[in-house]
Amino acid sequence: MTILALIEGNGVTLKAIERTDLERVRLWRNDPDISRFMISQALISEKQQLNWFEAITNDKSQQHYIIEFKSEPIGVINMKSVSGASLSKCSQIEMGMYIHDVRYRGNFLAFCPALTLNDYCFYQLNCEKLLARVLPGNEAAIRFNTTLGYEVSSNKTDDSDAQGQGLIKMSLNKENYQTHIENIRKLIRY
Amino acid sequence: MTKEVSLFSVFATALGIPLTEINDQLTYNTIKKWDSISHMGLIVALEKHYNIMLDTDDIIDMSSVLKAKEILAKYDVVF
Repeated sequence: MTILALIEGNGVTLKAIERTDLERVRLWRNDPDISRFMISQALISEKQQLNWFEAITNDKSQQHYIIEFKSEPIGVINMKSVSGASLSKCSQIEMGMYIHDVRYRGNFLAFCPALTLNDYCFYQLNCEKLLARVLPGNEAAIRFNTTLGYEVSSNKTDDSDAQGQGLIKMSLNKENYQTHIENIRKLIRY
Repeated sequence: MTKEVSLFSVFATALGIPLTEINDQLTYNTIKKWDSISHMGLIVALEKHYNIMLDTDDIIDMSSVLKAKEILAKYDVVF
């Protein structure tokens, strides 16, 4: 199965990141309002960004999308196979997302791309479990994930950010997802 | 109870904050208790109270109490 480069649903469009998006994404990712919630807060250079893009191009274990709302780019969402196998053949996928556009940061709209990609993982890729790693201080992300049905699977992982603080590991199975998102879906009327 | 107090009361109950803290300037995400999750509860409460169904764009745009008044006016709820 080929991983879709374009996914539409819940009022948003997810478009696979292209070379022409690289500078925009780099500037977003380097914005302290965004990077402070990332596992690595190091500034990314143009060269590093290009190297990253070349590394992920044709990598079937991960896909990174620009989130568009009303035809405007507002953020990034991605999925990575935990085992390193192709996304179409793996059972566990790690998700990541940020909204850069201040009009929509922390907004209900963030549920729209999350549901669109979660649906794709569970119902098209037949993934069994989604994972998320969150910095302990990122209460908004923990609350957001919990609303989607994620449960904390470990708050003492071996992983850590650049400051050495442990990361909270959260996981979501299909049953929990289906139960938790019922009320969210009722409010997405696109 | 005036229509405005009635609206403020819906906000106070849905967000779990005192009625005295609700005013037109109260803005989404400026207080911990009004985030994207409590926003859903607020929308459900407003829809039930006024017997309306909001468009998703309006749910997304409802960024303050004042903005809520403007949006609700489109659904014939006048203050």
